[in-house]
Amino acid sequence: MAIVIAEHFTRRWQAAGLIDGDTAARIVAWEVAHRRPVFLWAVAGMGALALSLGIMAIVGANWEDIPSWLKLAVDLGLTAACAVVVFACWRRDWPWRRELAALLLFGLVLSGIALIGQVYQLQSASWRALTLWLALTTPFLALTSYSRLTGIIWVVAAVTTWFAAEEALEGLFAYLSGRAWLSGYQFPLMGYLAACALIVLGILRSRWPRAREQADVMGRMAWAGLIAAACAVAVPMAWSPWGSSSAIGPILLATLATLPAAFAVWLGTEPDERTPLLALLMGSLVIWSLGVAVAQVGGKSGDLVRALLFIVYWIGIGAAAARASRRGLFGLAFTMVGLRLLILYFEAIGGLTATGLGLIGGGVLCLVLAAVGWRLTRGVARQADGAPL
Amino acid sequence: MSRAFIIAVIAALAVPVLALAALVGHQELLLASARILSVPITGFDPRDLLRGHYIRAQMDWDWERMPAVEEYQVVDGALCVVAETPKPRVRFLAGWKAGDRTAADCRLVIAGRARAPSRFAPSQFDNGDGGIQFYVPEARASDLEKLMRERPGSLTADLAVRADGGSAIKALRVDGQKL
Repeated sequence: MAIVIAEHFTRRWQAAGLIDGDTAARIVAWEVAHRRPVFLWAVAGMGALALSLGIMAIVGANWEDIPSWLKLAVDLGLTAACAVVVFACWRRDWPWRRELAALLLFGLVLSGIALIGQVYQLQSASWRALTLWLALTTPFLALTSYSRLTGIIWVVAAVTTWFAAEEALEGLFAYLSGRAWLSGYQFPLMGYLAACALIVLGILRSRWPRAREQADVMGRMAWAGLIAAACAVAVPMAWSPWGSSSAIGPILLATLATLPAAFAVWLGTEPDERTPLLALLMGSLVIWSLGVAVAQVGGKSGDLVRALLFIVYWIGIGAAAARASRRGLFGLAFTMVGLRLLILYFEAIGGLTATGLGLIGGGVLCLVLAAVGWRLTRGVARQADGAPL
Repeated sequence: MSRAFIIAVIAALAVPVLALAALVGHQELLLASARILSVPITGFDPRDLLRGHYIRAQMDWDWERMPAVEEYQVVDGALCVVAETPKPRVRFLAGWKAGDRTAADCRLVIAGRARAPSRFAPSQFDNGDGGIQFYVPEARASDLEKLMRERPGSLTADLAVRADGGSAIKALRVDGQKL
């Protein structure tokens, strides 16, 4: 398949005068030399999938008849065997086998915890089981696994565990923010704190050369989380605090969490990345704090203030992206500003006739924004390295 | 690669296996050293329709003194079991902690949380609203729910109670027969 695609594109590029005949022939020859039996892999994969589903179906159908001790013994045996496989693949430096075995072990440990809970009728909040799972698996993942995929899965698992503990952490957050009850501020605060913690973790992870690619994707997820956390408080209806609780405690906690993240960015990033990343961090803190501070302002004026915060934030990101020659990020920032302007436009209108006029106006606005965005994006120089911004 | 790093990797890979084995051993040890108390279980609303492998229930206690708990309030404490049969006769000890002294007539103490109205779940099984999820064979879940409604007291749980107030479910029984 890759050869057919290569032949198609080399002919196209050759016809356009981009490459000569020799180059086209060399590209096709290289693809032929490096051909991979994709269809065979697909058939083998389907066979393995059918086999494993069949085994699972037979086990599932007879689950009640299998003695508890046998279930536990098989589970422990599989977990131990998988741990041995991870070690063997790590020692022989077989990257993909090692990563797959590590992910399988990651999953087996969670299933083992669930099985023990089922057999002994243990019941507790899900965050406890998830925390135990992460505590048991993070050390071996940190030492033996360096792929992006594992990094993404670990970050998703950690963030899920963090938010699963929202109810259990209510008391702690209320105490730390000096309030009897933290109210609706907790969810956006937890998002912000998680992003700051992941920034620190990503930078620490990047200190180990073998795990640099993994740290890079963890860092990207952390920065995306920070932007999402800042945007979440500037989007109407995304959340709303209960009662009349003060925002000072949550803002103070967010500021305290920003300090180690800023320290890590200052010490752990390249000099050319340091300034834009610190600017993004500080800008996110300011927007988050302002968003929380105006959260209780209702009505059209509240919507307008939040919309302005959102737009100012993304204009800042767009300006930083343009300075760093990040066309993709610049385009995203422009799209976000455009979308928010469009939403603001629709929020301001009402009634059927006005809605019709609003749709026409919104359509015109979109077309104008698209034209302006096209011109602006083409004006940003392209850069191809993999820095987070 | 240094020897210390290899040892660290072996230890990191051994930890989950050993921890899971330790969890199993701990549960077996708890069951081996506990006293068994037979507690009837009754229906619990709202039912969890999405989980066919579980029945949601609550423990049916014979209250000598009901817990003074207001609506939406949760009070940590323990049950003092003054009689084990025919249905455990209990009174609530608000604020009880492991190691606290108990009255001489308390045959067993079960640590847990009380909620209104007169609902008590042992700490290990409390899933946040006082209801308890019992894992049962999927095919029998609806029959057991019906049984709880139509013949109260026929479904019981063997509660293994430790000296420190901790507890575990050892078995479910229908009319005394193990499920």
